[in-house]
Amino acid sequence: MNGSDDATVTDFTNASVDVGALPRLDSQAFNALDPAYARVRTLAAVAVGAAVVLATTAATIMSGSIVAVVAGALALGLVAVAGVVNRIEVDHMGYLVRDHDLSFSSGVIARSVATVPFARVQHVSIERGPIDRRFGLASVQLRTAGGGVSIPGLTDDLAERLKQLVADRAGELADAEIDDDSNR
Amino acid sequence: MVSDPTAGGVHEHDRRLLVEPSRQSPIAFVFIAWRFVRRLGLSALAAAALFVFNGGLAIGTLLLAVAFAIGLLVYAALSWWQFTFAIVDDELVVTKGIVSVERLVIPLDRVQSVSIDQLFTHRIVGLVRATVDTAGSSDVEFEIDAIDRPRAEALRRVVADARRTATVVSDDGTLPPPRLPPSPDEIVLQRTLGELVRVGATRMPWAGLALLAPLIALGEELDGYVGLGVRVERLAERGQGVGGDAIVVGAAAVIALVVVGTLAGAVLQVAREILANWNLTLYRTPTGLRRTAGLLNTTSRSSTARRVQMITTDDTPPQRWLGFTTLKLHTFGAVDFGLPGSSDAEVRRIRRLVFGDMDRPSLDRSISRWLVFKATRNMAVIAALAGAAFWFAAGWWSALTLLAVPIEWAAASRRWRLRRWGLNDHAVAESYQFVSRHTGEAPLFKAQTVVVRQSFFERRRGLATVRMNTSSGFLAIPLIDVTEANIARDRIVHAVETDRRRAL
Repeated sequence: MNGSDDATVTDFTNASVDVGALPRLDSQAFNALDPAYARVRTLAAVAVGAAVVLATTAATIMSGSIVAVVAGALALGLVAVAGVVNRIEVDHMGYLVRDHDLSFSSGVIARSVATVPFARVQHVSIERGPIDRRFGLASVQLRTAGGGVSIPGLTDDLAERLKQLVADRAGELADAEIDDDSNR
Repeated sequence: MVSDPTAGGVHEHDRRLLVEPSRQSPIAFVFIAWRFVRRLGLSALAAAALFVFNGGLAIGTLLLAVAFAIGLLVYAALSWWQFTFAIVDDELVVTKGIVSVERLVIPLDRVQSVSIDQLFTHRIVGLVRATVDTAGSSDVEFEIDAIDRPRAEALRRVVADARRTATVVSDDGTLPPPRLPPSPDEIVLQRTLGELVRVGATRMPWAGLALLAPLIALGEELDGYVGLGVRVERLAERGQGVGGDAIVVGAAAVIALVVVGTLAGAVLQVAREILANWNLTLYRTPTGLRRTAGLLNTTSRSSTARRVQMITTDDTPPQRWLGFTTLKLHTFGAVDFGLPGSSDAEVRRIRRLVFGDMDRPSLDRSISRWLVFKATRNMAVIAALAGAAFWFAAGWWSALTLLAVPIEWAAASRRWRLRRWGLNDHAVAESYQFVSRHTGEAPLFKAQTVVVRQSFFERRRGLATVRMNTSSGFLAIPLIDVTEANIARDRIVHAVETDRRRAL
């Protein structure tokens, strides 16, 4: 338990930090995803659009109503806009691997940069959807006890190497953790 | 970590009690069957029951119901028969499953805590439910339902003993000297009935207004018995007869309803506080903390100090004036410790127990004043839409909805003035308040991931939200300068990467 009567800290130090000297993530250039990923997203949007057209056609034939046609046209329009935004979003995605962490940036309208320290990674895996496999792509998923990050649009080889790197670094850092009695 | 064989367990009797595979009490049938029924969904069963009875007790549906009951009984019996647990060579071995038998083997030093609950239904039959929580898992590993209390307590003591006696072998292969026998658990805080009444009475009582909802819904039926509607109508007529004071009568009725609802709400809150936190006690144990509480359903939750990821406080104005707050320890796992009625001294002491002598960040930073604009703008849009919608019913009176805009501006200004946050080399903290106040604090090294996000609104104004995720929740600071957000992210990440203490 914490408290001066129980403290048995050994190697842990806690010097003051010069904030100005900290490595700055926002000044680093992120790596872009594989260009083929844009085609994957476009294909997915086309597939959804085709399903909407099919459903609208079926509804129109069955009901004979103009409302179904209008609703279907609106839905198709939304899918088209989503497809365009999807395509633009891929251009704004990127990842950055540093010595101690991995960051992923995404978003067009709302932008986000998520950083996962390797010391917190509990599980890393590779996922390949059917369309990803067609283009030789994969995504790497990093999981921590407080959420995670998924990096899509990587080539198979890069995904495997990245997974191995993360797993190795996470293992090294886990071994180096201090199991401090005063913090049980 | 290895167990130190020379330390010697102080709970040999407990180990002997658990060395043979034990089953749950036969009454576990009922709990197993009930759990299965709950999973099916009570609404589905109610629909099935209605179907059966509305269609008459036809032989077919009756046979179906009987077959279902027999199937449920068989399932419960098989589940009970297959479920066993035992302590074998410093491992907890659990066997369960009907079709495919699963054997879980968990080293005792991986078990973080064993919580013991006694719900009202357990209390009737004199049994408890033990919940086992293991390291590296945010969910409980499993539950051992409907066992006797001596066995559950024995399991908890054996686990605590295993954690206490597990030691690190030094480089030359020698073990440190055996530890002393564990000291008795120390009471850190305890709540009396008077303190619980005080906590309940000072909570926001608006929940009481919900009591009036069924009265309003069933108004016409009830009126036949009570005649309240007739009396109100006569009152209104009298009001109209004395010069159109119907508005005064109406206002008086509304005020009376609010007062009754508020009083009912306060009584409800006091009752809820007593039921949930009767005899609330926080213990400091050799391996961490234990919280016990409850009147009908008693719970006993344990956690190590390390698993506490964040602490928060929440208080209402009356609670602040009286000098206490509700402290909550957010832990990794299914166990959060709520400690209502905590004084400042108790909060400081418990904070020191879980976070050590870490400096608390000063809440000396504010967020952007754009918060006020955003809230006011959103309210203006809602008010305009509501006014347009009510135009057809109320005409120019619908413009009254626009009054919400200056009210929201004043409220948002107050929220902005009272929103504070702070960051030092060790922790991040925040505080926000409108009527009730909330504060939160988390050590930086507990961060699991850090996200800097810019909504469209924030991007256009050079602002961002920084969010630090821990394993038991998050702290998010919105609407701060994007450079400040990036620096905060870099500091948090730096702390995680240089502080080698285990976070979980």
